[in-house]
Amino acid sequence: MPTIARIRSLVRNLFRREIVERDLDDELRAYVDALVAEKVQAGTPSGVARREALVEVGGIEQVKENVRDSRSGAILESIGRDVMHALRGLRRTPTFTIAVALTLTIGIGLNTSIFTLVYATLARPLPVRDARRVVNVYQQVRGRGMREVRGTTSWVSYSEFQAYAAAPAFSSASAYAPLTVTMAGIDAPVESELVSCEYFRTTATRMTLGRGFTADECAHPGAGSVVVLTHAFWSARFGADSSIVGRVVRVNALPVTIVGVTEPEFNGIAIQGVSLWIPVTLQPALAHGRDSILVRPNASWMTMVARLAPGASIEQARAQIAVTGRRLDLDHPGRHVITSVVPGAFLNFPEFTRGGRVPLVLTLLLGFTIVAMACANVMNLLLARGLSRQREMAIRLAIGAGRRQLIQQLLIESALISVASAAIGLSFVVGLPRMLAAMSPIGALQIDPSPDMRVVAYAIGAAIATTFLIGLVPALQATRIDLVSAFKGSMGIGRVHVRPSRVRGFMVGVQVAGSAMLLIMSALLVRGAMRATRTDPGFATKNVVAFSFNLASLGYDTARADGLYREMIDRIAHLPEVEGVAITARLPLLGRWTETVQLERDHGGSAYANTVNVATVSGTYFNTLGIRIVRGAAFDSVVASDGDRSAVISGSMATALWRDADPIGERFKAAGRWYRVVGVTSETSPVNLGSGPEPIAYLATNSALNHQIVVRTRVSPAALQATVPLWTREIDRQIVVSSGRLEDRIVNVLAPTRMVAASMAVLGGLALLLAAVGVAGVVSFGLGQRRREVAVRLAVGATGGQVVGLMMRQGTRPIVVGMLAGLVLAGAFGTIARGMLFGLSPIDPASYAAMIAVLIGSAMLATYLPARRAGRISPASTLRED
Amino acid sequence: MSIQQSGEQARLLQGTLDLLILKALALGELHGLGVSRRIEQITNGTFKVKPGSLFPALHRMEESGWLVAKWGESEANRRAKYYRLTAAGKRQLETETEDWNRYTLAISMALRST
Repeated sequence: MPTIARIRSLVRNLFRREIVERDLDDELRAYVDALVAEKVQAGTPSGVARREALVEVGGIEQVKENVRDSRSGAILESIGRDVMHALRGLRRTPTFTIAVALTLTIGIGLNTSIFTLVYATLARPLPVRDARRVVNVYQQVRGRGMREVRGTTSWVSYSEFQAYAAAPAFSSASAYAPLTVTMAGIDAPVESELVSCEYFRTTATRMTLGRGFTADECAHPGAGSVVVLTHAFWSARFGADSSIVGRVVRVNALPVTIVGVTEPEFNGIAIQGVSLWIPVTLQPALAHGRDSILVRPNASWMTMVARLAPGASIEQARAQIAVTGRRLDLDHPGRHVITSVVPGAFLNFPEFTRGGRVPLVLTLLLGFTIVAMACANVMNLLLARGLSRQREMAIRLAIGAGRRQLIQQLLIESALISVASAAIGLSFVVGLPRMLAAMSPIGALQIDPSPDMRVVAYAIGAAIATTFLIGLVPALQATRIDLVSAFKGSMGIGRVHVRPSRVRGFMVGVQVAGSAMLLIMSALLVRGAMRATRTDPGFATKNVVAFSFNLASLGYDTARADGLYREMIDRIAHLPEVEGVAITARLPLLGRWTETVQLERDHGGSAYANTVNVATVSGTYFNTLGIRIVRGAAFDSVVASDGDRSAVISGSMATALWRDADPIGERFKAAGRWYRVVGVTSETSPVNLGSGPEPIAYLATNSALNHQIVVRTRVSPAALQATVPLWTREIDRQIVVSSGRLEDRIVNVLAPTRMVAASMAVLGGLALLLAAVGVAGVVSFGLGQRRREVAVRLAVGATGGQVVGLMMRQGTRPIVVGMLAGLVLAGAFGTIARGMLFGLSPIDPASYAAMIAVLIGSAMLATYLPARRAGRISPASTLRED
Repeated sequence: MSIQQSGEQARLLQGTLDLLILKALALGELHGLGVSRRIEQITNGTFKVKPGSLFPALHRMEESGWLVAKWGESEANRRAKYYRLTAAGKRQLETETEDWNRYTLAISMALRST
């Protein structure tokens, strides 16, 4: 009952104030009347009685005020008053308000966006029903022995999955692995997943049509020739045909029956979405018997996911999985696995969370730097404002306001700003991460960037932290006021400001350091990308196109594949626009692909140089890619004299392995075969743009299977890219041709660098702006403090230029210190990010010089603009101010 | 909480005013001045409660649900706001009385012991 009474009166006090007030008024009037009546009755004349009664009451307003303070909701009411007051104050200074809100919006927005992305990839539960009960099972393999790895080592083999899946803590478990397949009638590779047959039960996926897989379909290799399609794939490729179930399609030339279509929006639980699912037991059949990783027990290739049984805990699962892991080790003497069971997420395998932590921590740190710099800047603005409001504060303290009340009011002000900024910042979060995710070089990712509870909580947390950070320091500083001197208007002399000014100097230093680092980094990355595009890689990149065919997945043998390649090369070579056509296993710029070679005779080359890049190519490769042969000749035939195969090597490989000796005619062994060097090429950068010459051996091949056809044309190869698929279709309708231009590949290679450079430039520019405002704040603060000193100097004959210079010097120390720190940080970051610089030195002088010039220019401007006012001070009126 | 005593300064312990008001109202409903006069009467004139303390206390106790107020006619046919104890108020009076007795007993025992 008392609680209800209290709530009722709280509501009444807050929302029906007039009634409450009128009631109180009436009650007090009645009291006074009763008192007067009492006195009149006792014989006092009525006029005197009323006066006496009022004296006795002691001020009606005072009584009312006491009653109001005792009411419930009195605190709320005073907060409401402060909010109104703060809003009025903020409206009075729109420039200040907008500056602060904008800074915080950008700070909180950027930081929360970064958090959203990191959270969506690393920690957000998988996109399935009741995702909190879903876990991933990983194992790290330690000890002796070899293990086959496709993907990451902590993935499991199918037999390991079966052993782990038996854990009683799981109600269901499944494993999946990506597989690119070709489908008859679809002229592009299709992303699919090999899954164990429990997959749809584990992910709790509903079906739009048909069913998921049954246990029988995974009973033994080749058991169920069935597939399940995603809703998106079914809609896009089969026109959402409702009679699709039961239709037979060809996947990798294998006839399979469509048994189901999943619910909309479900595209699997890997970070890259898929189009269809195939029972894992079809794996050997889909590879046409050339690969049967399904039955190999010591291979990492499947991701394991499981759903905890009702009542089972993740700890129980961990214990059970660990026991199973030890049992599995018995089959592999010397090996021991460390098992882990972690809450399900996209990227949570041990290698990633440990190895990937460094870049992620750096990203988060960057986000916090931005927010910290935004806060530092706002604190500067508020400190300056606090100074200008010292008179107001002093008056309020003098008329009896408590320090707590003043602080409450200042905190409410900063809370208003930061909450509004966080709200606007959250709208960034809706757009920015989606944009960043779409820019990802890996292709469309399945990450969900929409803010969920944790993101909103993070933004609110950021807003609260910001409120206290930006509000409390200036609030405490502004209220620690010496009343007397504030009224005298000579605040600057007191010792009060020594500390705050040092704080400001430090914050400005941090801002300068941060912006220097970011700007130099972005300059390095931009120049690295420029260098990469300008530097001649040693081969033609323009109008070069490569074609690959899905012959292996269609079950072609070597002879049949060779026949098809001959036919295609023949047709292409006869086109007038074609300059050259060749076959190669691998195009340049795809990173290293090395083999250790063995020499027939040691020529004193370094032992470490024996690892070289290799590429199996046809003899026309050099002409097609415009690689010059500087000694010897390209091979005409695959087989050189005396049964060895021919090879052409790069100049750097010749130097590394044979020193000064002539390598022509020398033999070396690679990939189990002897090769004889018939030619030496000019230098190329085969590994990456701008990475410089690396040893590479071009090995002659006579089998075309798994190779690409590479063509250089005089004009754009677009027509050729359209024609080749038509030709293959004449021969075999199931062949899928993928083609790609080397120029596009270069764009892809440069994309991450350009992306990082652009975001660093934006962040750096922002930081510079913040730092400049901070520096300007320091200078104009200093000017405010030393106004009278300046006036005196001017009065005794200093020129305007001299005092401006004097004022400008105040800002230099934090700038110089901050810039030096920024240079050191940039050097460190550059060394870490060397891989993105395409051979540019991480201390590239041009980048540093340019950015130092920008920083110094900005610093001069930021100190000059406010200091300029010093020259315009009128000594007479300034000195008269007191 | 200040309670005015005629002549000399009497300092009342925190919470005593509530107890006195509850006690005053235990005998029947009263308006503001009535409460004040009843307290004077039952304390033999030791305490005179001024409106600056009385009304905040009455309103606070009303919000706590110990009292209910309603407008009515006074003896002299004047409108006045009358306060009455609720069931919760009666319970509160009992507990506060017990607490007070325990407290005074303890204090007087402490003072007697030398």
